[in-house]
Amino acid sequence: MPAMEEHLFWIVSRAAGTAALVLSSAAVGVGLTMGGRLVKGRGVDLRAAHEALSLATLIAILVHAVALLGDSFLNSSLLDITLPFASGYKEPWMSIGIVSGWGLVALGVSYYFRTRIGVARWKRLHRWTALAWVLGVAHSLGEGTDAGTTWFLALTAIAVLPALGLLVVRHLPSTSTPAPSRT
Amino acid sequence: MSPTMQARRARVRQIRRTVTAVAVTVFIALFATIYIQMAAGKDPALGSSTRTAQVSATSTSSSDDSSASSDGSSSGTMTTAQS
Repeated sequence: MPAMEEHLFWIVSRAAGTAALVLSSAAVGVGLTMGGRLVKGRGVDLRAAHEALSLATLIAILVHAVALLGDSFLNSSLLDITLPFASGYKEPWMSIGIVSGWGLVALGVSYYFRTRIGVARWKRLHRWTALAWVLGVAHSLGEGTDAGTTWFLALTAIAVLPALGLLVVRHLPSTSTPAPSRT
Repeated sequence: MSPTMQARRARVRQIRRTVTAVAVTVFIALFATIYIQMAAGKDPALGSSTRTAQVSATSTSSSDDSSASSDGSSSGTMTTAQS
């Protein structure tokens, strides 16, 4: 049995990273449901859920990154976990994760400055969250220690596929034909 | 404040509490899963304790082995233990 106390920070980081994947997927799914007006009359509930899930994601990402600073094996510096291509560990997946993390933080926090940014401009900006999320999924599958395990792949499929489906549907060109105009 | 607004705020608080509880539960469940997996010697990175011991011994006896840093890791010990 390995000395478990040596790996506590690493386990915390792995658990927080996977939690971030699940929570961000749920946040993206709820956001797309809200944006696509797929559920009628539940706007307030969906917005509250979307905001809470997004904040929980940001906390999970923070724990995921900061816990690595305490891992004696990886021995990361603050630059290694915040600056793309600084650590050289498992590139390009590490840098993809860092870019994704910063993207999710910046785009998530921008919600609280949307009146200053301009609501219409902020809405256009907020759509990039989906790209940051996709990069996060790529990071977890490319670098994640547990990426080869059955439980991780099953969890990823359950969390990611519905949101991915909604994202694809959202970006599909509309097939509905416009109603003929009355003359 | 109108009763409708009060009910709406209560619902929002309830949703926030639920999401917080779910997030904490998910984290604890994942932590427990990874901890148990590692304790049982089935960790995807560490493998079984015997394998880790063998790899460590090999790395120690042949410190100039180029395969020890084949994945670009910044730490030799890290490479054998967590790759």
